[in-house]
Amino acid sequence: MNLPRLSNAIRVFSDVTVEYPELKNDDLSIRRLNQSKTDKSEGLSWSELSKAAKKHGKVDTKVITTALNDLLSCARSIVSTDADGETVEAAAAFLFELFKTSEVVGQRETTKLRNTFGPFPASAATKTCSIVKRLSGWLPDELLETGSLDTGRQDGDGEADDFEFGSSIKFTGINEEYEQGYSSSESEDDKPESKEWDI
Amino acid sequence: MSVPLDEKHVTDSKSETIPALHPSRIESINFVSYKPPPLDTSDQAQYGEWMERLQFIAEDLHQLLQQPHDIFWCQVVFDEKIHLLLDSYLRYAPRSFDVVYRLDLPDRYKEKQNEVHRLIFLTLLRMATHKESKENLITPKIFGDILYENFLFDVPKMLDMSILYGRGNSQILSKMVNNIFTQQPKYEDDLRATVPTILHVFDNVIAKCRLDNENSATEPKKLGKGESADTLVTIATSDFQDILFYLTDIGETLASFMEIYPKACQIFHEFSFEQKLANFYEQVIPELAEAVKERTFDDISHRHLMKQKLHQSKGSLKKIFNLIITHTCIQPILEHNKKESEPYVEDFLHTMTSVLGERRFLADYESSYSFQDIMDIFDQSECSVDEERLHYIKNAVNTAFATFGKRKKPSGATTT
Repeated sequence: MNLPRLSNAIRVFSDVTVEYPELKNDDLSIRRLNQSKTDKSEGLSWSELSKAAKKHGKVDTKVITTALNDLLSCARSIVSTDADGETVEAAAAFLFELFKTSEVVGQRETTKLRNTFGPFPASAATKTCSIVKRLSGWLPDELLETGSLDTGRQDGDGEADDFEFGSSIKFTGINEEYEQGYSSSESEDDKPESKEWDI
Repeated sequence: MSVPLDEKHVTDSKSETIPALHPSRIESINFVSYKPPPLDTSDQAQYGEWMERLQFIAEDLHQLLQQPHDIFWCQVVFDEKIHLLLDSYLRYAPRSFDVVYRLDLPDRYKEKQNEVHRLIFLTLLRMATHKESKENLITPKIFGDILYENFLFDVPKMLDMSILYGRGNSQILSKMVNNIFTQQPKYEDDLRATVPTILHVFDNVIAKCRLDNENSATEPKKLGKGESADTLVTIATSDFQDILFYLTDIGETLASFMEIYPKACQIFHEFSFEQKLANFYEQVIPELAEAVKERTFDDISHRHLMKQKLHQSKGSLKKIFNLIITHTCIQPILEHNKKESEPYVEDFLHTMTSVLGERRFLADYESSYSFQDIMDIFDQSECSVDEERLHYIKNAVNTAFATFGKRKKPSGATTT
C-alpha cells in the first residue's frame, strides 16, 4: 500500500533527485540464491562447472555445451524470463547442485525450489533434473562429491563478529517512537546518548 | 598526517595501482529492496516473505557496516543495489503516524523491523560522516561532491530521514543533516528549488478538497464536463481519508525537517512560505473539520481516526508557521542589539500583518502559541517596536480568537 507522501511528490515533480527503477520481486529470489551459495561450504559456481564439465567430461565438448545451454534455459524459465545473465547462471549452478544426486523431482527438491524461487513450472523442473542427470553422468565422481573447485568464499553470514560501525551509538527505536505518541511534549534532547558521535 | 580516502591508492589483484575509491573494489552483496509490512495480519505467507526480506536486509547491512572505511565507501558510491535499498526504506518504511501500520505485529517482526530501522540509520550516519576517525577521512570538499553527484542524499531523502528518525534521534540526525548541507552548499539550492513544488502540493490538496474554484471568483466558471459536483462531504471515503493522510504527512514531514534543520526556515521564508501556509490552512482546515462532522463513517473508530488525523495536521501546520517566524524573526531579535534587530522586527510585523485576514488560522495559532508570549519577548529584548502596529496585530489576533478560537485547557495564561 503506497500512502500519499510529500517526499514522493517532490521526487516526482521537482528536479532534485534521481529516478530509481521500480521495485521488483525477483530481488528476493536472487538473494535466496546468494544465501544458498553462502550457506554451502562446497559447490561449484557456473563458470567452475562449465570449465570442469568441458575439461573432464567423458563426451564431446559440443554435447556438453549443448547440455549446459539447456540447463541455462531451464534455469531462466524457473527463475524469471527477464532475469539478467548473472542471475540465470547462479540459478543454473544452484540447480546443478540440487539435482546432481537426484533421480527424480521429489519432495525435497520441490520444497527447495519453491523456497528459493517461489512458484515454478513443474515441466522445467523435470527437464532440469534430466539434464543434470546427464551432465553429472559425464563428470568424474570425485568432482561431484567434493566440489573440489571451491573458491574459498568469505564468511558472509552477516553476523556482527568483528568491528561494526555504530555498535556503541545509542539509538531510539521505532517502537519507542510509537510509544511516545504525538501530543507528547517531552523532548528527546533530555535523553542521554551513550556515545556522542562527532561528524 | 593521514591521507584522505580520495587521495589514497591501492594495488589490485593484477598488481596495478588504482584509486582506493574504485568500483572494482566493491563486495558482492546482493542487497534487496525494502517493502512495507503486509496489511493483512492473517496472511502468514506474506508475513513470512516480508520477514525473510528483513532478515536479508539486516544480514547485508551488518556486513556493510563491518567493512573497513574504504570498502564501505566503494560500496555506497558504486553499488546501485544499496542505493535502491536505502531509497526504498526511506520511501516505504512506516512513519510513526501511519496508523495503518500500527497493528499488533508479533514481537519477532517488530524486533526485526527495528533492527533494520537502526541499521539503515547507522548506514546513513556513516555516509553523512566525512571524518570517521583520525585515519579514516575524506577531504570535505570531495565528500560534498561525492554525496551530491551520486545522489547519496537529496532533499526528499532528508525529509524522509527527518520524519523517520527525527523524533527519537534528533540530536545526531541534526548533526548529520547539518554536515550534509555544510559540506555541499548545492543542497541549499535544491531546497530552494523544492519550495515551489511544496506550494504546488498545497494547490493540489486544495483541488482534491474541491475548493480550488472558490478562489477564482473573478474568473468565469467553465460549463459542462470536467466540473464535478462532489464536495468534501460527498467524495468517496477512501479519497477523503487519503486527503487527511496526505495532509498529516505534509505537515509532520515539514515540521520535523525544520526542527532537525532550522536553517531551512530561512529558505522557506524567502518564499513567504508561512503566509502561503496560513492561507492554505484557512482554506482547507475549516472545510475538512466541517466534513469530518457531517460525513457518515462506517464506524465510530473511523470517525475518531479522521478527527485524530485532522488534529495532527493542524498541530503540525501551526508548528511550521511558528518554527519559521521563530527562526527567522524572533530568535534573531533576541540575538541582536537594538539597531541590528530592526529588520527582523519589521519582518515579523510584516509577516503577521500579512496573515491577519486568515482569521481561523490566527485563532487556532493563538490557541497553541499565545501572541502574548511573543509580546513578552519583545518587552524583554532591546528591540524597539512600533507599538501601534503591534497592538493592531494583537487586537486582530484577539478578535479572531474571540470569534473562532477554542482554548484547549486552562494554562494560566491570558490573551488580553
